[in-house]
Amino acid sequence: MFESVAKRLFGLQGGQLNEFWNQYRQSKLALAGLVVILCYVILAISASQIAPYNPFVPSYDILQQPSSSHLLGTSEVGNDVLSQVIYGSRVSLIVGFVAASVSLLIGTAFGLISGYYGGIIDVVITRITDIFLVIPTLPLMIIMAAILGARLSNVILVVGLLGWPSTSRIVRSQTLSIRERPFIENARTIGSSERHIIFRHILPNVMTLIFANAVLVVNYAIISEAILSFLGLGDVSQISWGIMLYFAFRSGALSSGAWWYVFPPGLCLVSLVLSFAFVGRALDAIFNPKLRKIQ
Amino acid sequence: MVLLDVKSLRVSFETLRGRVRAVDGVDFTLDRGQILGLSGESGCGKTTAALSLLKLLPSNGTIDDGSILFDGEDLRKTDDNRMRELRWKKISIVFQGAMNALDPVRTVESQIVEAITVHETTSKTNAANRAKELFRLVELDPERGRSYPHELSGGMKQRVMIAMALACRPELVIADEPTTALDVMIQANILKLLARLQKELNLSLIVISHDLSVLAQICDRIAVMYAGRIVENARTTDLIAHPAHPYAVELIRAIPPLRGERRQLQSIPGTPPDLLNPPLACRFSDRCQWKQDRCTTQDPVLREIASEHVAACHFPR
Repeated sequence: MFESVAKRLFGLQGGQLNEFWNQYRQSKLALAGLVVILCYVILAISASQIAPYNPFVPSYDILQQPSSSHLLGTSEVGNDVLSQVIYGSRVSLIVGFVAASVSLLIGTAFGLISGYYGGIIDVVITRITDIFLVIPTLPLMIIMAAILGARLSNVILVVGLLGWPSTSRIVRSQTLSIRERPFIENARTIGSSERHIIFRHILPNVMTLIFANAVLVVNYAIISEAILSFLGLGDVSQISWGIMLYFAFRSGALSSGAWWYVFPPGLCLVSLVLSFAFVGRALDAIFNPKLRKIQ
Repeated sequence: MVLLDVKSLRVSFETLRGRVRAVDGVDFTLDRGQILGLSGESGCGKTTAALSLLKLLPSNGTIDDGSILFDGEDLRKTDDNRMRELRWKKISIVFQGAMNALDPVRTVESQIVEAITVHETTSKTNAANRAKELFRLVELDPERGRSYPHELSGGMKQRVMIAMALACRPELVIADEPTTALDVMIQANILKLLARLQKELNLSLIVISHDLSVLAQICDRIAVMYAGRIVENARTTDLIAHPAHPYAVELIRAIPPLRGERRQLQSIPGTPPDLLNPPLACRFSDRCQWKQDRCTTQDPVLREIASEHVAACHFPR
């Protein structure tokens, strides 16, 4: 199945897929990143089976040090920190992937339209993109989240609606270049419709770029969710690593020496984001041969 | 029977430096089942003339004057919708530079299927079967349809482009530099293929090339263009044996002979006139070694110098 998806989306064939994998394997960091991401995905999917406690249920054992019954100790209301960290991976990954999809969809659509049609449409979209790039995202995100209210869907919406400009720029510039290639002129001469040219000729040709960029957008989304949650704008009925840090900070966990409450979610965030960055860098090097090291 | 009749065609491009008259009064006719060669140096307007037949000029180009009668219909007056119908179903083109005219991320068969389904309401399977037939027609293994362009050689890609041009059974095919960038062996194969297809399908062909020796191999007639105009138009044998216009004479002299004594190849000194301000004289006069006074004051027009042989020169050779 994976192969047929790869074929449809990127025009890759079996042989090319092997070649891709062989190149990807060259980077140890990229492999490690992939493994870490897969671990978190498995953790998120099977959270209810793996977690030793129900992370939402408080107990009288508050802020206990790690012990054999609570491997990562407990929170200020007696929740099991390990279980919370495991459940937290769900929200981080969901927000990461869904918000990034929203961003990529908007960015790709804008990039294709402005790059292909050019003229006044291009000017308008490019200016809008510039505005979004120039405005400091964080304050805007805080304001939007505060207005919309602290719900997980709103967090996704806010992050997704603000993360598209970089994708739009990349897709636009590549579309500008592909639009002028002879095979597009050929398709136009044959009489193919604009829709057909955009979706069947240009999109597959920019797909690799979108893919390499996607990883970075996912990263941005995960970090943004953590920031919003840490600032108290997240959905507190859910558990995410950002929300754990928010409660840890509010209960003064760090000043009272409860390191087991602060470090696990923080380290999880760092390792996940770092893994995505490694994967992204490897993809970039594969799709953009200029970055490859000379053997 | 005349299929295409082009009369005093004028095409110009609006540029920052002014209006460039790329094609400045071109007349020619093409009979059904005939192969016409268009020759001339870079920038003489061969491709522009051909693209204007399909009304595919870049956005800064316009057809200013003349008529293009195709099968009795004036293409200059047809609207965009009718033109879209005619393109590929009646007139198709093999673009210059086959290397880049195929989408790198799609199989070649799917691109031919695209050409068919755009113009005909037929199922994908039917179109795919037709694509396989077309592959056989251009002497390619039908299995090759599943390849991506980078997996094919230059000659194979050119065959795919020809197959694509034939996808909707057109009457007229324009081949723009079909053999450029191919090595000599492959050139010969492609030319043979074009000649065979012309006979089998009773096609009419316009072959554009700067290489007279390529055109001489397959064309019934050759028109030589210079600075936006046709300067000589004759049957291939007549043109090669008795070129009348000094430019054609010099062009033929520049072809290296296979037999006979070795001699220094001749080039024509000078450059073509600036088409922003074409001179009111014979456009070749600056470079002509047989120039006389009249050549610098009077612009020669195409006139018959022998049967079915026209040239635009005051003093034909």
